[in-house]
Amino acid sequence: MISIFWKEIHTFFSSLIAYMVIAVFLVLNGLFMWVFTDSSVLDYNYASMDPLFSLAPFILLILIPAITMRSFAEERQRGTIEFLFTKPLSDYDIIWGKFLANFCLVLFALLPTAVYYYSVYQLGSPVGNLDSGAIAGSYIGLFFLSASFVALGMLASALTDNQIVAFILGAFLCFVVHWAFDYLASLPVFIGNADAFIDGLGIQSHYDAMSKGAIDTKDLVYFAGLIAICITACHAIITSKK
Amino acid sequence: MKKKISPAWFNFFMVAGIAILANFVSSYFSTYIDLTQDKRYTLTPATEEAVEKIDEIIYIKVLLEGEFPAGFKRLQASTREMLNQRKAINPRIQFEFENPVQGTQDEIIKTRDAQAKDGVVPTSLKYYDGTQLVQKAIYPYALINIGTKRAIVNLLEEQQPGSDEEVILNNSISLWNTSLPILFRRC
Repeated sequence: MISIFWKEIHTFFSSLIAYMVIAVFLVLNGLFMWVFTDSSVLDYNYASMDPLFSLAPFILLILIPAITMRSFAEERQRGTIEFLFTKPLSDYDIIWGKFLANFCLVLFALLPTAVYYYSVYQLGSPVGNLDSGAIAGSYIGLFFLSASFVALGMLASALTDNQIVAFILGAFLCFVVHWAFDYLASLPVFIGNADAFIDGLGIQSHYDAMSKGAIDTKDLVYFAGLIAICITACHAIITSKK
Repeated sequence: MKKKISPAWFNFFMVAGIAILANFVSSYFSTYIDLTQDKRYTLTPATEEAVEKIDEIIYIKVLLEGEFPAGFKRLQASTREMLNQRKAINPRIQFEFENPVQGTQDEIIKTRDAQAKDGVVPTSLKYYDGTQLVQKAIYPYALINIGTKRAIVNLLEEQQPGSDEEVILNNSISLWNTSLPILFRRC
């Protein structure tokens, strides 16, 4: 697992992928959080990092499938997947290794946003007048959201040999799992009976609950379950395609 | 060839089953850590009990919907959050957000007059939206119906003359947590 992890990390950082992902994520977030007046913290009159946490899912929706699309699709396209499976590694070593490497790359992109925290902290009046606990909760939520997107993106990549298809499918899966249930729950048919249940199927309700700073065990169980389902599905698809 | 389910797929269904079961169980037995500084999301036992005890349908209409400056957006978000939290405990609490300044000029005036009779008077708000100074009528009210009883709540804290708008808003938001249980009792 570790060897696959390092191999993947090495590929990311020896090519443009890692730098592109990190740069695009930070530029978009930076613009929305500090420059554009509609969402800027500077015009918000309240020391918080909400714009970052409400925006990040949209940016990650595009970025994460772009990272994960190569996981299996590229290996299959190039025919290197056979080499990988003849190595003395279990299938799960390969899948988890790739998962961790993809997730790590997202964390590298998230890490510099700590600077935003410091800025908002200093800009508060008086200095430090912001709810650090709530922000910690939001970060935990964002980690789980990223991990789920990575798992969904890898599932999409396992389904096809074409990277473009994997990307589009991955973004679609992430969109459906994150947002679609929320919209579905707001249909008049479900209001008052199944709306809370349907809403709970999607990532959004769990992410929002965590972003507020209340870390609930049921949200943790949801994310763990979602990731486990995606990874085992990924494994099943890969073995059946072998 | 007889098709047999492969171990990998078997594994997948097992994990999916366990995950669904775990989610089901955890929705009944869940605990949480409240990381916020003012413990906003920790309901006091008294509040929880008060909300649980409600046995009539409570219908809450919040008139805070539409385009607002950031401060009111936060008031709206925290109101929605607070109501959602209580709804999760007791589904008899139902609420919706409505925009009272909507439609044609005549309609707006008509609803304004109707609401003025109930004592729902808009707050006039002036703010700079980046290009121009906008003046807007805003209704920071919640209308609560329980059976035939009715109550109107002003979401804004009583204004002290000369106090800053931001301060009023921030106070109002933290006030919500304490004011609602009292309000339910009053109804």
